[in-house]
Amino acid sequence: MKTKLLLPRNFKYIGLLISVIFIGFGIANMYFQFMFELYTPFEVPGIFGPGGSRNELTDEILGGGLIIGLMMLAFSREKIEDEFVSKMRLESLLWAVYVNYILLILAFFFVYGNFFLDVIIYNMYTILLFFIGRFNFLMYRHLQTPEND
Amino acid sequence: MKNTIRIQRAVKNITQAQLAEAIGVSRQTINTIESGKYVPSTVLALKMAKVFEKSVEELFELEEGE
Repeated sequence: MKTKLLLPRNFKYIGLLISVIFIGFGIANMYFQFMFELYTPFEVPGIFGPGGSRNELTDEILGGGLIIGLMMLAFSREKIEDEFVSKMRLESLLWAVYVNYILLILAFFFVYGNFFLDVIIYNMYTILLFFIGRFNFLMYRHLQTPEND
Repeated sequence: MKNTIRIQRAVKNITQAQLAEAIGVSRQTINTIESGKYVPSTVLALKMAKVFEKSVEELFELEEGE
């Protein structure tokens, strides 16, 4: 099973490092008002919003960086990427989509006000996080299969 | 689906790891195939048949009702 859509194996470790760092900064930003204090050098034209001011870049850097880190972690090749691993990958992705949207539907009903904004922010990343968790769990179990001769 | 891979391996006296190496999958995947948990693709079935110098039908067999 050759797929060109996966990243080389080393990206997994780079992705893990980026993800951990950016989750740390992200929590600091969401709950402790952490900012990089970096601004665009020019006034940003507003396409959908008012615009016309120099934009602070913390949320852009953290939001974009975390997605890139999680995607590297999620979609890099396993040591032996055979067809059974591909099958687990696909099933984990399906599982992650189900879980993600079931939780989002529950949040529609049970979470209100400002908390719902937090739910939306988390929901941007949970689909990848659920996939990573599920796939690595299945992979771990698969690799524990005892020798049976 | 039934398979005779474990028997064929015993006849040829090769381990799961050696068979895995020969057809480019992990040892654990061979295990899931032998135990019937996973049905391999046609390509993999043909590769295994080549290793054992048997036809695919001698390795895999449909069960009644399939």
